[in-house]
Amino acid sequence: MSDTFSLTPVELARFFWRQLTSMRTALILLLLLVIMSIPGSVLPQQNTDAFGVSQWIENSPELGSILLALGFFNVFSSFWFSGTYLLLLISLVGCIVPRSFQHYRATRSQPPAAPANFERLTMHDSIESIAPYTEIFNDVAVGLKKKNWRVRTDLTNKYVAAEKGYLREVGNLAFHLAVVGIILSVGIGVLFSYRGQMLVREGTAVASTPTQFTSLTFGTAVSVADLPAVTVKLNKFTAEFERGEVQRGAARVFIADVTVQTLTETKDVVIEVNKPLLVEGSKWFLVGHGYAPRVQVKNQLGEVIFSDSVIMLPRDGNFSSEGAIKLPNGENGLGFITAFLPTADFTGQPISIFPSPDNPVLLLSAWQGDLGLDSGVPQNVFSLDVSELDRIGIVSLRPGDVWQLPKNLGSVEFIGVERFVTFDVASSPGAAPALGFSILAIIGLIVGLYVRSRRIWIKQLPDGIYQIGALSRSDQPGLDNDVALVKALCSAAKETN
Amino acid sequence: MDAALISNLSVLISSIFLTLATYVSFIRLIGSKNPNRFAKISYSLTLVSTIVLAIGVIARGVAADRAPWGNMYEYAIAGTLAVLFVYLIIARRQDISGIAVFVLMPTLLSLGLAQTVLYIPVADLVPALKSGWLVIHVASTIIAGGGFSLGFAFAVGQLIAAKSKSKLAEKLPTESQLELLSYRVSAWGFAVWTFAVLAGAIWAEEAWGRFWGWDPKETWALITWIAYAAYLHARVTVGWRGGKAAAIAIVGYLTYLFNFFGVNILFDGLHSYGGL
Ligand code: HEM
Repeated sequence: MSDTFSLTPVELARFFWRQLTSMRTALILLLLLVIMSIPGSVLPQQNTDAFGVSQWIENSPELGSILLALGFFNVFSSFWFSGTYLLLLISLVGCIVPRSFQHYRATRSQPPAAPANFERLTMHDSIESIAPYTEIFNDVAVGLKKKNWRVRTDLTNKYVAAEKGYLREVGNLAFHLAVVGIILSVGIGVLFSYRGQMLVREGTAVASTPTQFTSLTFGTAVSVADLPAVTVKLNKFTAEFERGEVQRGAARVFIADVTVQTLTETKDVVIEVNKPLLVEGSKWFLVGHGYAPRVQVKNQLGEVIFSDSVIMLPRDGNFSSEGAIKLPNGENGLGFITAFLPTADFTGQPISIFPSPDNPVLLLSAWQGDLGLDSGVPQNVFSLDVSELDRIGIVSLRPGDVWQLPKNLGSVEFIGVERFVTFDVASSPGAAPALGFSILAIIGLIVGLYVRSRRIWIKQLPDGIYQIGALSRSDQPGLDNDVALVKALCSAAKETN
Repeated sequence: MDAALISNLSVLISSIFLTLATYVSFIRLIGSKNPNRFAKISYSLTLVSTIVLAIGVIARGVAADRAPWGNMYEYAIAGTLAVLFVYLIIARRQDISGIAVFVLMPTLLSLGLAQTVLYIPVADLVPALKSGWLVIHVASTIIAGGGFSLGFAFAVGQLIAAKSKSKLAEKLPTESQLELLSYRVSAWGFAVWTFAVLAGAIWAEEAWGRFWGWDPKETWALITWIAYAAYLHARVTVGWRGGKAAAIAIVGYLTYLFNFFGVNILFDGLHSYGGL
């Protein structure tokens, strides 16, 4: 009786372990993972779309807060998702490790004895022969051995047993162990990885120090001290866009010419979208770009108080871009809300109609007053808080244009169009072992699926009849060839007689 | 004539032949005096359709001067070609004419959809898609998809054949025949899919600096992978063999389809290159 209540703790533990490592549990856990992954792709996720998450919660606060608490906006690190795959991992190890030992033993022992009833096997057949059974068995055994079968001849019980295709199980085991390896490499690799983003204007250099990143995250096992000492200068960025009718404006070429400096060397390299820079264990990926118009501001005395390129963040596919210039000076501070249109169109609202700078226009709205930069509250550098400011005026400039500010406040010149690029800087040390295990998994899978594992027996019945039975442990065809081979070996014995 | 035009014409001609093949195999299924003859005609028509479609796909590649699977339209025609190709290989080796309609009808549907809803003229690719890994990654998803599609058709046939009382079921191959066919192509699809996911991860690492980022496309690729792993297990698990396993194969295929249509259209991820 399987009454769980009367089991001792050890028996109970064994019962659960057997349940956990059963095929059925593995199957159900796999199906659970399928279902659990779906909200992770349907709902916005914190790690990929934090903005979407906050919007979602804003739109439906009640459901949103419940889902948030339950981890639905962070599915792949939620307790229920991690719990399920951890259980699967344990089940996998608990299933595969004993099977590995079992299979190892099987490869060192004899093929199993002939079953009593051949009718139950995948295939069976019989053949008549007048040759003595010793001779037939010998010929079959020798013939099969030549073809790399493992053979056992039992002359007392009058049968030959043979087995082939041990590699199938090896492949299956390798595949499952490799899956464990992939999960572990990815999981442990995350602890040792870091990732950051920085914006670099043409003609300027950035160093991989924390202050220069616009965002930077570390795995638990690494810190700022693990950042490499690298400086990257963007010499020139080239972008080209589709000018044909089909997919007009789609990106075609992005190339960043940079100079990389490490403690030991300086070199010029090119970074393209699919060709990251690999330096000191970190990879630099070209992930975005935009415009940084060069602007010069003079005060009423004609002294230059600002002259630099200004990063403006693209807002649409045609690079209508926005930014801000802040020149704090107590009560007399100047602030500009800027919009840049690479190919300006003024038929309606001013927008850009093509991503290349074919008709570049810089829109400026100027404000005066205390910019509040000294208040200590961190500000977004790409926007200007105008609530405390006085409006001076608004203007649109083309390269070379100068705007004399009203009230004799000075002048602003739009000098020319320059660009910036966005680099992702990342190190993910789990990638290499994960790749290795993935390759092992694929090889194991192919071997496990396509190597045929089969057993064959021939036994003597009365009246010179020999029965042949074959068992396939894979769903690949070809067992009939094996039976035919054994029959041929028997007939060979008959003919030589 | 330029290559783009040749391509479009070929796809059109191919779908005409495919329509005929579908029709003939439908007749073969619902009852004709001479099923063998109809089976042969259907096979020949499908063969012609496949060859013409192959020309269409190649010409598209020549016209675009790159591998012809850079947007949903190209993916659909190349994917259809993969399905037809695998179907012909199987049909050459064994008689599966009873199930031909189950394969040809959806194939025709996808070819029709490609030419109407999904069609876009030849164009170059955005830089992120210009990579040797694109060729390998997308090609392998197409090939795996060919296996999955056939596995789906066979699994549906298997479920119908299992209800052996229906008249239709008698004309189909047997349940166990269909089960084995479905398994073979699905398992093959699974192996190629595994490789496709790996190639995609390598490409993502190169292009975006992370080999896995839970982008909707990646998530659904994993969902499909797990679903088919579950199917392979179900086939050998007591109590799940047969119908239940076939149902999982069907669910797996739906997740694959969703990744193509649903994710390209509904979600705004890094992979939304669909071009719709
Ligand atoms: C992440 C989890 C898992 C994945 C992705 C997975 C995947 C697969 C795949 C693809 C196959 C068929 C390939 C082949 O025959 O070589 C397979 C077979 C098998 N798996 Fe798993 N598996 C997982 C977990 C498990 C667990 C936990 C168990 C044990 C309970 C298990 C036991 C088996 C067995 C016994 C087979 C052989 C079936 C046969 O003889 O055809 N697997 N698995």
